[in-house]
Amino acid sequence: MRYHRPHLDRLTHLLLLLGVIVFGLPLWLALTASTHSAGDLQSGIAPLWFGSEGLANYWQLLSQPIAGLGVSALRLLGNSLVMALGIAIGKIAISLLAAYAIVFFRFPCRTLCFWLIFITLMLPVEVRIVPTYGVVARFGLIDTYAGMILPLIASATATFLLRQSFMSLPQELFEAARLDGAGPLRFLKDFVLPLSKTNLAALFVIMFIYGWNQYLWPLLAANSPEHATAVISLKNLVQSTDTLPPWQLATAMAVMTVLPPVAVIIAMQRFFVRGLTDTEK
Amino acid sequence: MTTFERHRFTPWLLLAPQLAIVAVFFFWPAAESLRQAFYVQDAFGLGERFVGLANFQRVMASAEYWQAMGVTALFSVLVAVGAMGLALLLAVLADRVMHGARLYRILLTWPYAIAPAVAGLLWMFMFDPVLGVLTHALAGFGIHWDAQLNPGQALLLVVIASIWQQMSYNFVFFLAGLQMIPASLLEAAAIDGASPFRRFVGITLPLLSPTAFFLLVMNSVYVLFETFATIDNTTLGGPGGATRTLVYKLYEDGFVARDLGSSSAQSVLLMVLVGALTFVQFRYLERRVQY
Amino acid sequence: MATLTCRQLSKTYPGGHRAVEALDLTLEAGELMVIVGPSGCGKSTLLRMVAGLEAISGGQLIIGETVANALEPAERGIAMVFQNYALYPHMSVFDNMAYALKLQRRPRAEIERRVHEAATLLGIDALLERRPRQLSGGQRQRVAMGRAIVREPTVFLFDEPLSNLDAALRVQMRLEIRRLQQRLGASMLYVTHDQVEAMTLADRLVVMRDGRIEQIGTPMALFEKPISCFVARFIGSPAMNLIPVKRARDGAHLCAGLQLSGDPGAATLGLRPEHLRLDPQGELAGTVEMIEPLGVDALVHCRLPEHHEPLTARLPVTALAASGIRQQGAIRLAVDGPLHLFDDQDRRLEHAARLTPLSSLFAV
Repeated sequence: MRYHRPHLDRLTHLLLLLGVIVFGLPLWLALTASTHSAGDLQSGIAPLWFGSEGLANYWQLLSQPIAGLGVSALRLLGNSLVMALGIAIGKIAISLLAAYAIVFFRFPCRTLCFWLIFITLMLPVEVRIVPTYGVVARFGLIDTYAGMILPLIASATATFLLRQSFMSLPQELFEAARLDGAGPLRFLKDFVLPLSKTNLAALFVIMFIYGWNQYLWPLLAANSPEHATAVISLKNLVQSTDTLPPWQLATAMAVMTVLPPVAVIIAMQRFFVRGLTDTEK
Repeated sequence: MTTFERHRFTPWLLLAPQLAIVAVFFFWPAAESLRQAFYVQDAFGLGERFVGLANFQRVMASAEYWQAMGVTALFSVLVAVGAMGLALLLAVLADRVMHGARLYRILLTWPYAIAPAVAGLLWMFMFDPVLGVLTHALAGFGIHWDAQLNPGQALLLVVIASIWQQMSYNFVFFLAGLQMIPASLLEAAAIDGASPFRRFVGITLPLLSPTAFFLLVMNSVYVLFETFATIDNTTLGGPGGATRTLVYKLYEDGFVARDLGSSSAQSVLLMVLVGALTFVQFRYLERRVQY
Repeated sequence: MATLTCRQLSKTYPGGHRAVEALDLTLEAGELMVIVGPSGCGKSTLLRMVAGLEAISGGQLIIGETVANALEPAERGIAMVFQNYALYPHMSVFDNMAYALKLQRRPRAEIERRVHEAATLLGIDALLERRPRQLSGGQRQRVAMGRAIVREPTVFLFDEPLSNLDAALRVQMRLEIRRLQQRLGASMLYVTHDQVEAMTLADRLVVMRDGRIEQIGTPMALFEKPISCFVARFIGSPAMNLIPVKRARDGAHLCAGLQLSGDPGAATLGLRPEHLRLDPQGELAGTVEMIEPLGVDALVHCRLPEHHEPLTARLPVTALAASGIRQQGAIRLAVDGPLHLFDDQDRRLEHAARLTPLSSLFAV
């Protein structure tokens, strides 16, 4: 029920624009600050417009080892990518198989298996962080990609969503395919995967962002800078020095860190909204 | 329902990867937490001793723990109120517009993609003592901002950064909730003579209440776990524990102070807390399904 | 020659519910057999057991020459058309029809040939590149049949294939299925709950009730000699009038105020609405409760003395107008066809019988 009231419409747009600006401001200021030299930022107030040192700042981060870390931003972003993709793909892959087994097979302890997986839904890695570190260390996986990824994919969000999605596939489709001679793996490949494309894409967006933005676990699991991620490196840039933080580098690093997940969310907006509302409800 | 009933081993094969990972990286650590909560390690980390509930008593008796509990609760309330209020307002507005709705949605949801750690850093920059735009603006009003020394301001800093980051999440759900309200319902109310405001209070809000409750729980979970990164990039729990949440304390005790018994007890308490939240949420959603 | 035989076929669900009980059935080669019955009678379960979608609890299923109890659905030489067609939404019409052949690893040329042949037969060769959601209901139905035909099965199974179509299309597709079946000489097992569909399609008709076969035979045999009240009520539209027979104290059999002579054990009298005609001297006298005009004929629902349910007669509209029959007015009807008698177990009695007015009894 919407009335056409020009004044109200204008007010609506005005308020929304205000919201957009307020929410955009922090990133905008980071973007402008990252294009100034250290000297520009020595005094006064953060600049609202771009400077001339943008290329130099970003180039310095990408090409030279960061002070106190010893690796370049390129390495950090690469690590983030490996971890985000590892978590997104790994989680979707194991969840896909598990959800498929739970929906399309009957076997003893099926319900028990479902609950064993389901119970992980609400307990994030943070609540068991200390013993998880112990377990991962015992396998010698500290400071490896596997160690950074595996504990974070031990959760049921994806399994749960995929189970819902598989159960909504029409039963007759499954029967028709069986009559046509499709076995379990065939059916998975020819029917379940193509028909769940949207859900898989939605899940990928959510899991990629989740993986990219992880903080506490990689902080512990990536002991050496060689495995540090972009997100955990930021603290080094701001807090490693006793003097004024090199804000032009910190903001540049922040901009590079948020770019991939923001790009994913904008490019896959449709899947993102769907993924978010589906995984949580 | 027909299934592949002849394949006995295939389902186990399919389940194996997830079951293995969940067993090793979830149940084992969780069980370890549970066990260590009742033990104390000796000074050299070589032996351990069963102490019953002593670890829990120690945690419960510590003023710091209760301070962290209070900080977490206050933090949760502030983030919930701030993020949900803003999100509801913006969602109602975005639901109203006919032109540019998609663009607004994108421009208001992208902060979801920002890592809490980065959110903390960006707002640190906004409030930087030397460069900060907001520091200068506040100085104009005669307010001296120093989050490093002022406990209230420190908490406000992480709260604002969290609201900023979490608003988009709330926005997506409120907007989806608004769009699910059948137009016929509001039209019927309009024919009955309800003013736009009455329609919003009398129909839209009650229909959004399950969403709001769900978000309340999710915002609490967010504050419990995700804000660790925000805090670790801004205030480091200080000053004087003013921004030390339960998880931040757990991290400090477990990894900085290496007090396994205490941190395990805190893990168990945290699990109970999250378990209770989940339970309440399921019960509530179950009751509200008729909507 | 039998293409499909069920011997004592049973289905018991965990929990003890017996959906199909010791059922014997033979489908001859080239025969279209329709299984009809109310919902929950076990007809779909039977079909799904034949298809292999439902495990068989007991008895034997023989398709062609082989015992098929333990075969996978795809190995049974059957093809099935589903109620909602179950077309693969992400595949083109061609791929829908070719899928089974592809899984059988047939040569590409053979697949092309068989799909095109079936498509031509069904008149859907122009649609092969489309996706199912771009098709109308009737076209989807045809694709579903095409998918079955391509496999050249020993037996076709149909699970209420027309119930999702509108009335006009349903009549058209019914004819088409019949024509197709005769052209291919195919053996078909066809499940429906629509008795008109059942009557018009079937070579032989199976009426099922509570997991058992109530009666099996040609549609006309079932219409003319229903073995029980259940079949009598189920076959024929509008349904047969069933009137209870009461035994008077003097041993006479009374039925709706009339004397039933000739049979000692009848508990129910059946009269088809088509076998009643207007007759001013008719033995049945009643009041018209409602008239439903159908066009040429009208259904006249009358109330008879001492009988609670209305008696339905199918009468020509012209005759009704000529006799000035109106709602709430009086009507007299004569029986112009066989009387069906059923015993107190609702089973058919094969005795000749006559209905006479009570008054004429005293006259004799």
